[in-house]
Amino acid sequence: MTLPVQQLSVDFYNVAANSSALVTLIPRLIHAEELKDATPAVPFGALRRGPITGEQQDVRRLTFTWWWYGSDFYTINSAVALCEAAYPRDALAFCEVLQGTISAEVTDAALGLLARSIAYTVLTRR
Amino acid sequence: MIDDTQLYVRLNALLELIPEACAAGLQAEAGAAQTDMQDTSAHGDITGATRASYRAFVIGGPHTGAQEAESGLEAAIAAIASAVTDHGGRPASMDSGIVLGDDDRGVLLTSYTDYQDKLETEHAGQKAVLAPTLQAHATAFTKAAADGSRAKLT
Repeated sequence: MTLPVQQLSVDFYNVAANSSALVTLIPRLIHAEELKDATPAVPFGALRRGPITGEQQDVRRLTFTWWWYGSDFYTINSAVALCEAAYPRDALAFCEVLQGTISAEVTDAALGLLARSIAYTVLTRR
Repeated sequence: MIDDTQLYVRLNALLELIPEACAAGLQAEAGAAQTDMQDTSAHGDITGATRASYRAFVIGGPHTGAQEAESGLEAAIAAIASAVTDHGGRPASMDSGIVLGDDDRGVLLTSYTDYQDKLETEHAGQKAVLAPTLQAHATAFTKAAADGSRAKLT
């Protein structure tokens, strides 16, 4: 059975949304595209969906980046740590979840907010 | 008694080939990554300086990156100098801070404008190019390094 890879984007988002520890610290999770319309109150997490590479019926590589925003890096770094814990290698069925680069502590100049990101690659034949 | 001196000499000679064999593999994939960056649709162009100055190149050992840095910086300077609109961004070049061992080889993805950091981070990376390209090519870079050394060993 072939499932659309787009469904994996929903599944990936839901892993964080279903992490009680993460949602307790950061109750507001959004898709990064929503930042064009409004900036939520901090702290919040924004999921950026990156390119999907690979051939159909071969291994697909989906890329995601969680951006964690807050008023202090203690909260942000705690969110990064909880995010790491929420996504073990087998977080998604029939996939391999690889945790990638954690960015430096940065200021998003456009939003005027402190932030840090963690990148993921999901490998799948689904 | 077996004299294995020559065996060790030849094995050492072989090991010395590996870093450059990996570099050759990495170079090919770096070219593909650079093309992807320069073709990005993540951001548009006001001066075109960032797009023109995207570079992906091998570093480590004899690969200082000086030539690529000069090329990237010159591309940014030329684009801004010929642009009709000045958005205030400027060409920029700085030390990457990356220190590699003698036998280490890597690929550096960068551009030569002073607003690249903003592009990578603003609005949760809305206009980011360097990080997503690295994500997309990470496995291919590893394979390219392995293929390069394998080609030398066979």
